[in-house]
Parts: sequence; C-alpha cells; structure tokens
Amino acid sequence: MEQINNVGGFSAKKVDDKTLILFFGPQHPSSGHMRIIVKLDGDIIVESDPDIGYVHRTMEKLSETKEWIKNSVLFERLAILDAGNVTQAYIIALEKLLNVEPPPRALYLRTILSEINRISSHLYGMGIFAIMIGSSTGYMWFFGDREIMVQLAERITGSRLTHTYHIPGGVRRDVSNAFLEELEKGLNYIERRLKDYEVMFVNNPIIRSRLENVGVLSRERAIELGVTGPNLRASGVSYDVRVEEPYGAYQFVDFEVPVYKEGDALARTFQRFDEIRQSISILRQLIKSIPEGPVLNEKYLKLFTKKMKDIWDAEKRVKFPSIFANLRPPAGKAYGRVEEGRGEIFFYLESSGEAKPYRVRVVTPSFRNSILLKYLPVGERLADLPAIYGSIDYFPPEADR
Amino acid sequence: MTDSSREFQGTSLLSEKTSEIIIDSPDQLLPLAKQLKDKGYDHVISLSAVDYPKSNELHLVIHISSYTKRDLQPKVFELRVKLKKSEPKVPSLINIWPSVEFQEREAYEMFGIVFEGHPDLRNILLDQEEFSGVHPLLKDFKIPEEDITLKLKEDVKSGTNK
Repeated sequence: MEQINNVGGFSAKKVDDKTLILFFGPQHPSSGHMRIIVKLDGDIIVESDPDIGYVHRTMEKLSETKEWIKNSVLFERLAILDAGNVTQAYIIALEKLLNVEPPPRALYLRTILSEINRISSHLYGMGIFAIMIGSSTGYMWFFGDREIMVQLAERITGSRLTHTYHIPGGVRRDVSNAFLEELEKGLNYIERRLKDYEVMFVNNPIIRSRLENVGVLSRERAIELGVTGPNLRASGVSYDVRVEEPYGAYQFVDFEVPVYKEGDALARTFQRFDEIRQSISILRQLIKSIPEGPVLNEKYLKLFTKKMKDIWDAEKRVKFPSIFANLRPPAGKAYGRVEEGRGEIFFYLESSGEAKPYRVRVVTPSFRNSILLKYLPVGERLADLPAIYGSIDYFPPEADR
Repeated sequence: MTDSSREFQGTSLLSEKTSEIIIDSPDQLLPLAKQLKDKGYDHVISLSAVDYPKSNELHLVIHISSYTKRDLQPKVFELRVKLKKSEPKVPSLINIWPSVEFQEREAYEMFGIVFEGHPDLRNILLDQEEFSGVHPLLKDFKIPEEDITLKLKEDVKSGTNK
C-alpha cells in the first residue's frame, strides 16, 4: 500500500516497513528549484532521482526567434552570477561565424571580467553551501565579500550582474587606470579574507567533520560521468578549458590549475578556494600588462559616425554600429567553450545566413554535473545530502536553461 | 565485436585528421563510437539534434572530447548521425559514454529521438504529461501564445484608452 505522509515537512511514500521514498524539494531542498526523490533504507540513501527542469526557460527554442545580438542578452540569464563567462562563450562562437577577432585590449578586459566573475561565483556558491550545512557566519561572510567583486564588475560594465559586456569584435566599455587601482584594492581585501575563511570555515572542526569523506567521487567515475569544472579537478583530473583551448588573454598569463585527488566534499571546497587564489594572481598579472589600444575590431570602428566617435572619446563607451542590429553570419557552424566558475560551458551555433540563428545548442556545467545528484548520494546518509548537493555548486537555473 | 563493425573499420573513416564525421545509418553509430572511445575520446560534451524539415531529416549531433589524452586532436570531435524524421531511432550510447545519460533524455523529450537500450528514457526538463508526444525543438512546433489583447494604437492616440 502506498500512502503519502508528511515527514518533517517533506512528502514521503512508504514502500514497506524498511523503505521510504522521500520527496526532497522542489521548494529549496537546500537551494534553488529542483527536487531530489530519494529512496531511503533507514537513513541510508539507496536510490536518488534528481527531478530538474523547474526553471526551464526554453532558451534554445527562444533563441531561434531572436536576432543574433539579442541572444547575447538572453543567454547571460543562464547564470546571472557568472554572466560575463556565459556571454563570452556565445560571443566566441559568434565571432568564429563572423570571422572577426577582438583587439588585444578587449581580450584583456574580457579576461579581467571573467576572473572577477569567477571569484564572485565561487563566493556565491560557498555562501549557499555554508548555509546548507548550517554555517550562517559563512553565508554572511561569503555573500558580503562577494559584493566587492560584484561592484568591481559594475565599474567595468555598468551593471552588477547581467553585464552584456561582450560584443562581436570587442567589448562595450573601456576602463580607466583608476579602476585598475580599485581592482587591486579589492584583490588585496579578498586575499586577506581567504585566511579568515580558512580559520572560520574550512578548518572549522564542525565543517570538516561534515565534509571529509562525504560524497567521494573517484577519478574514473568523474571522467566516465563527464563531470566538469572544479568538481572534476577535485577528483584528480587536471583539465581546464583556459589551458586546453586558451581564449581571451589567458595565453599571456601564468597560472596553475589546482588539483585535489581525494574527490570528497572537502576537496571540492579546497578546490574553490585555491581557484580564487589563482584568479587573484591572474588578475594582478593582467592589471600590470594590459595594453593600450582600441576595444573594438577595426572593421566595426570604421563604421562609427561622428557622434559615436565623440561619445567614445568622451566616455570610452561603444555605441553599436547599426550593422549589429542586423548581423547575418554566413551559413555555417561554430562552437565556443569557456571555463565558467562551475565548469565548461559549450555553445554550438548553426547559421543559415539569416538574421536569426538556425539552431543554438548550449550545454552548461550545472547540467553536466546534475548527473552527480543521481549517483553521488547513493550509499550516503540523508543528513549528508545537503553537504553533497552544496559541494558540487549546482545552480538550477543554469542547469535547466 | 560484430561483423558489421569489422566492415566499418575497414573504411577507416578515422585515419584522416578530420574533426567531424557524418554517418547515414544509425547502425554505424555504435562501432564508430567504440573506435572513438578507444582513440581517447572519453566523455560527451553535448548530445542534441538539429531539425532539417526541407530534407526531412533529423541530425543527431554529438560533441565529444577527452580528459585523459590531452594531446588528442581535434580537441572537440563532432559526430553526426542522419535520422529519418518519420522514425528517429538510434542505439543508446550509454554503455560507451555513461555521460550521455541525461543528454539522451533531453534529446528524447525535445526531438522525440528514441534511444534504444537507454535504461531510463523519460522526460528530464519538461513535464511528462503535458509534453508527451510533443517535441518543442522541432521546427514545426508552434509556440502557444497567450491570449492577451492590447488596445489599438488609434485608441491610445485619440484618448479613448481609459
């Protein structure tokens, strides 16, 4: 007999005296809109079925009804906390179709925004993770400090989250030297705070006992399941799109790809902190070596009217040449991939030479990592589910697209 | 290995430095995928489809890459399978690349492609009841519009828009 009971606020189905099916979500199982249906034997999870799609916004279908340039505004809403990286992948693919390349200064500016986004995305993920496992101080600290990175992004782009900064052939705004000084100040602050985080969060005995040896993902399993980003690297695979297929200004800087071999929730946490350290180092190198010059490809600069040039000279702001409203990339296909905070984002574009895309395929890191929610919790205790869920930094709107 | 796969290896589609392969028959998919996996392509980045109503075809498009063999070229390999729109059926790749599990479910709901041998083929993002037999990413799917009537421009101009 199947009966739906209310167990501690969750719906549950009793299968037999030993087994219980628990519906975890979709109202914030820990964070975001998704549900995990877990089959429990006592408090051990024997089966887990992630039920995703609650925030599916039909992005691939919608993109077929919009002009190429408008789609960059659509797609950054995949993950607004990491919008710069998402848009960059789309624009890289579009640039391949249009056969334009951004000038060096634009590449540097793109990478500066990417790394600022990465730090703020990691801090966001850690904040949510902290509250899931009951560390409200962590939540406050990470979210408070993330604000600095968000404001720095606002100084570059004019917008806190949905930047729409990347355009084919360049970026929309230049930055002043005063901004670069502010950025250095922000980085010094985050670097100092990383030490505080270690004391309060990662080396806190309560946090460690909740994360150590929980949700262990072996190297082989990570490769097999196609896991991506920090979750993959925390399982011992050194793979980063920034190294494999360098884009932006990554070829001009030195950085390491941190790797952990343990593959548990704690390793994934360390991984993210190490990546923030690398991002700080990358940003410092970029501040020192950023070249002067235009931020938009010659091809489009030539189309500037007198008024557009005046605005550029006075405010260092790019007004769109009218050609952008009616971009018609030649028929063909192209892909773009970028290492986002949570892993690799992949765009595949197909053009039929029209003003709108024929097909856009986007695979986000959270969608690729969502398979972990099916296999990782099995054999673990129910109380560890939030720790596993939080440690993979899963972001539902990004997964559902 | 079956006989058909041995025949297929004979054509040695993979010997050149190609970055993509298009195959006409779904039967060739498994042997080819096995070859690519042996070559070092260990995971699937994207599995989806493109609808071509004009030629009455549906292309299954798979992008694969390698975590373990980092010097493998090309970094992203594209595999295309031409399917008949009337009966889009293809063997599941789940035994070769377990990473396709959720993406095959997505291609199933969005395009109606049936992956034979998939252990759990059901909708993943879309509601099972509302979207049974409806495949939104096909070109002939019409997006239902909300029935909202806005007042005419003339009414706004003449001030009758109260």
